[in-house]
Amino acid sequence: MTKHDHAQGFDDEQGLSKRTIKIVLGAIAYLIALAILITGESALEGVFSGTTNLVILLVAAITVIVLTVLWLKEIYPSNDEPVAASTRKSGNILILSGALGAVLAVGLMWFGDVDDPSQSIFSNAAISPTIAFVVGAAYLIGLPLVGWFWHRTIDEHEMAANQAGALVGIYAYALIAPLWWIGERASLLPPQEPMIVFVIVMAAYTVTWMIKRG
Amino acid sequence: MKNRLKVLRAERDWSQAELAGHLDVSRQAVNAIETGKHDPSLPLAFKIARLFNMTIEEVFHDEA
Repeated sequence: MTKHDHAQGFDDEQGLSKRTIKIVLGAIAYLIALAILITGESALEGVFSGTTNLVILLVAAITVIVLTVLWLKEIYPSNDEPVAASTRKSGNILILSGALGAVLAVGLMWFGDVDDPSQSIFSNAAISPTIAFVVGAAYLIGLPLVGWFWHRTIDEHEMAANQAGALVGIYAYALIAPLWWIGERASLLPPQEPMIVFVIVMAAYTVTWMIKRG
Repeated sequence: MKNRLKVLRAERDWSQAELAGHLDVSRQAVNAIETGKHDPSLPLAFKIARLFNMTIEEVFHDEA
């Protein structure tokens, strides 16, 4: 393929397939997180067998790794395609935020419940005030800081996609939270789970953001 | 809003990624502008026009 062919051959088709893969993988990751959260107190235990637990966690891990690799290939392409400095920087910040989330999750699993680490992250099981303070403080400081840097680096198209995602996210929250609250009061629904609401809202935001971003 | 970005880019044998590099935006941003899914801000429209030594009106035009 000549350089001219490359210019004519639209990268958008390639982008679309990559986007589809990312959305599907992202959806799998969210669905796993949601399924685990919905199982509630029993978390991975009881609802699923030991082997199923392992398979679920393996699928989740592979999904996250593949998503990360796809993301890295976009920021650091192997075919010497130029990547704008701001794009690379914003991508690096997203990877940093993912790493921060992973560190917090592992920290919560490791120190939250020594008897069953999976209970610490995938359930409402009690954790020590110390670990709650440490993880909470890291999240409180880390999220706004990373967010601030990210918003300073992204281009206007990314910003527009982010804003569209935020709009869908707030509508998702405005629908889910009151409806669940009403349903709970009428004994039609179980007590509201904030983390399930969180995962649904973030899924709505992320899918919209990825579709708009392309 | 329609534009001639794809043609102008092809005339210079630039890929979307190369044009994105010149404009300091993502490849997705260039693709979205080319396909009319994203209308650039005035500063970016000026930057694009300057890059091709044209006026904004020569690159972008109203669909009406």
